[in-house]
Amino acid sequence: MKKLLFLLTIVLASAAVAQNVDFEKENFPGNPGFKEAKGRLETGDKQFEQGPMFYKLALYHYFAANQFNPNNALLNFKMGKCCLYSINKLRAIPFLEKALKLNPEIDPQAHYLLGRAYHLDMQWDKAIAEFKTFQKSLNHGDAEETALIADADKHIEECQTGKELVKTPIRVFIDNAGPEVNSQYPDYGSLISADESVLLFTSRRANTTGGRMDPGINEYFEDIYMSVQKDGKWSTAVNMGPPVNTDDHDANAGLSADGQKFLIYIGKNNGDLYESELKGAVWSKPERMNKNINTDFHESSACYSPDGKSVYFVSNKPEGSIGGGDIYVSSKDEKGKWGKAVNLGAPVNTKGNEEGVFIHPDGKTLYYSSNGRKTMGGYDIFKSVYENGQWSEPVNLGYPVNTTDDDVYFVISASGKHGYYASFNEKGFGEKDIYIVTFLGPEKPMVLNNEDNLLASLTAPVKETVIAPTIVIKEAQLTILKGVITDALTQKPLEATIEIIDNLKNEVIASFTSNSSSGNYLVSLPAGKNYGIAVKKENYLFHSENFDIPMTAAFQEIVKDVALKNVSVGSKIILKNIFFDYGKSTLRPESTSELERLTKLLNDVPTLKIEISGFTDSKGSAEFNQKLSENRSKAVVDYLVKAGIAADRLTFVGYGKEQPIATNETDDGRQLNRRTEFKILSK
Amino acid sequence: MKIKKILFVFYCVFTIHTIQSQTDTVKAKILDDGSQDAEKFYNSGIANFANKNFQDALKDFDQAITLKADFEKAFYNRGTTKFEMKDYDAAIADFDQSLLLVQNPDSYFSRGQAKYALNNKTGANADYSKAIELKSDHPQAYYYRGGIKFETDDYKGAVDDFTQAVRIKPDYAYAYNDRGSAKRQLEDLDGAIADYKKAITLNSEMEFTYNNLGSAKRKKGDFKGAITSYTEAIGIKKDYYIAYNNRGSAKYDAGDYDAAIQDFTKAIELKPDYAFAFNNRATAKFKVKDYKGSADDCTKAIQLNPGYGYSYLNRGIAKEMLRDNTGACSDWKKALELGVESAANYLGDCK
Repeated sequence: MKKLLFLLTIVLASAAVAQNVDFEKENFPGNPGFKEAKGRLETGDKQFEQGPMFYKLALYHYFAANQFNPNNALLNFKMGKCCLYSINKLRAIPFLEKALKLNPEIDPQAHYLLGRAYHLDMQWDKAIAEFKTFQKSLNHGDAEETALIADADKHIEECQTGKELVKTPIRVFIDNAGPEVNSQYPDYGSLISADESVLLFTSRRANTTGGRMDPGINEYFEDIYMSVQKDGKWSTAVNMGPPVNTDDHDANAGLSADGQKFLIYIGKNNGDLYESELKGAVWSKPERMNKNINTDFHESSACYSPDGKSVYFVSNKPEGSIGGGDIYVSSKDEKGKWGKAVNLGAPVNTKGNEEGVFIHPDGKTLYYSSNGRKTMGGYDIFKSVYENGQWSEPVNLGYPVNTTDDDVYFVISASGKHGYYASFNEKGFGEKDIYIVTFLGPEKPMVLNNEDNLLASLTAPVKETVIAPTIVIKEAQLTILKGVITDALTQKPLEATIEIIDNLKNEVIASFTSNSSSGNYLVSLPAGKNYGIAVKKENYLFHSENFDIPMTAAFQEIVKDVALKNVSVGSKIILKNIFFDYGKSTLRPESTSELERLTKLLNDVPTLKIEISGFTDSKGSAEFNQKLSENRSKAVVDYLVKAGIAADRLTFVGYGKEQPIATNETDDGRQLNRRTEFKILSK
Repeated sequence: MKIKKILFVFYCVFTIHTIQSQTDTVKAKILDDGSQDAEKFYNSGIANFANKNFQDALKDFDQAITLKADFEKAFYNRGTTKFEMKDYDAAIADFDQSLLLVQNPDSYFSRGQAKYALNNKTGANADYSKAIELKSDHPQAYYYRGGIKFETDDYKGAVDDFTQAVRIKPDYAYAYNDRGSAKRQLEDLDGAIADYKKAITLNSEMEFTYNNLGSAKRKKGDFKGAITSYTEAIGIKKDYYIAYNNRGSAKYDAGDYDAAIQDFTKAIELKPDYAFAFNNRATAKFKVKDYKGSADDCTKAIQLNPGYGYSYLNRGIAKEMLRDNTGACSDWKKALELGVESAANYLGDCK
């Protein structure tokens, strides 16, 4: 562990003290590689000094030198600069970073170049910081340096535009057109027929017509190649050969909608436009377009209008220009000649440069590149639509179709679904390749689905149905009837039969005997009824009486002590449960039980002879009372006779209000006096 | 017969006293005459109902009705018992009998509940209205009638009924929740949020109200507030998969796709057959460019719900990014067949 820490310390210390190492012999004593490295450095420098066209060659030698001495600030700076002019520009970053690290003062331009590299790599903030550092190193009073400041400002603006555009990328697929189309050489400048069946493009391949190489950049001359799409696959691209291709640079410029006419850029006369026509299976010899189109200046890209009657092209001629390269349109006159070129004007053209013009098969949508508008770096591709007699404000096609590098020569299919352009990508086939952009259109929003528990009653049901409440049962109030049965003469307890009668129903509802040793009894009776009680014992006159227990009565105890009388001549028994209608001698039904008991007594003791006597209270006249009492006692006798008792055993007498047994001054007393009695006349 | 019964009681009492002590009193008790037997069966039925002995309760109410054919409350309670036993048709028959005897608003209300259980919303609505006609301060009748109006898309009518319910019963938390939902359907999001909050103050344990509040906030664009409310709901009910699904959607809206995926995944853990959560997780996976994962989740959602048009639509979108144009077109066509009309917009480039 300690060893590891030690090594780490050494490494960090080395990094901290890394410093510029000049290519001097004394810095590499005894190193046999120094001479070779130094030589490569000097060779590279010679290439470097000839300008950007030779940077590629310079870089070749610089890599070797750098491998020997990676810590030379100037070499790293130059390598960074060379890389920035190469196809793979992002390689510049580590060299420029290292150059500035080894020597922050290596070159004021290092910050600018590093800013450009960061910019290309979409490291926006770092790029802006480097551009600003670069601006601080410049003299604002110097005209040349003021121009550099303005240039840096433009890059800063591009970074800011880029930051915004990458936030809302357009939805595209970008696919390499494949090995049938692309090669290890630069492939670019694609054109397609309206139906995407024919692809024409420019390439610098070894089989270029004439086999010439561009000495400046060590690349083959441009020729035009063609690939045909069938069943969704591109055929292997072929050189279109003469007469389309010549010994000079031959680059495609525009293809008519029907694929029958072809606009070609040929590098003669500072770059002019030519036309070729497909006759049968052979392209005609390109003919130079007239002077309304071609000038002594640079005419580069061009395209036909869908009807083939106009041609849009780019020229950097100063006459009629808004600034730099502008887009012009020329239409055929009645004789079929291309007419005078008209500058499309603002807003299509700007003070900057326009390039790569392409009119969509709809005839009104213009695609072109410009560095004079807000771009995210160099040329960006824009779209403008011709409506109501004027071109609309151009719209940046957006990232990732546009990048931080120059984006030019963009064409789009008639369907609008595919675009074709050239770009460098490390994963490609080498140098620039043709790429196909598939536009996916506005984002297709995916749909989320959610649910809620909106109704509480469905989410967490509660029991709402309420059961009806209980009903109070009218429990009969109980009354306790109790007492002692004794012998009236001896007062000894008697075991007698006790019957409780529901007088209304004329029904015996209880029958029991009193305790033999104590004579006690107790019975619970529901309230709300009229009861009769009858106490019987053999050889005793039975005792009976009636009483009401009202429903509203609270719990109560009724004591009924009964002294039974031995059946002996002269005994009188009050028949308390015999009832008559008021003021009449008609027996009421409630009297039946009592009368049956009396009947039973007479039957049980067949020798018994009795007298039935009636009594009233003192109310009413004596005559009336006398008569009433007599009639009532007679009614009882009549009942008994009717019940089978011999009439000779029965007598009746009415006493009227005579012989009261209680006071006639009170209701209770008068009730007691209104009675029916029987007296034993003989046994 | 009756006398024997009485004597039996008497002898029992007598014997007991003879054995137990030297007490020399003869005791007897006269039983009642059975004139309230129907009521006794009725009360017994209520006791059995309270103890959830519904079968016994039914027998008791049957006896009560046998003894007293015009026993309205026994019909009502038997209907209620049958309702509890989910025998809704029979319950309605008993409520009908009850109503022939007495025009009781509770019988209408209960019959309305039974009709609703049978999905007879029209009948239930009529019964609730009748209950209100008979008893204008019947909050439950207003509340449930409001629920039916809600379910039949009469949101304004629902708001009116829920308003009556809370007027009569100011602490009616359910009615506030539901009124909030009706207002939400009417796009009165502020009103909905106010009602949901009121419901929560009346009953802070209603997790679904927190969920609904979250959804109202989400609809208003207050994703942060929505997430807070959904979190509250989940705090009350840990397995509230609906709230997880909704919170995931709010996080999706807020652009926090990874967190959204976590919530959708949790919803799936809690309810493995939750097609919505699979579908929604697919949308979030799409956003993080996991197109295959997105398509796979849609496939799962479709397996769970073969009629899930939106998941077909979404899978088509994922397949497009997987460069499977044929599959994408097939899915969009299927989505259109299943009623997702927006799918037609994508079929333009399909062969």
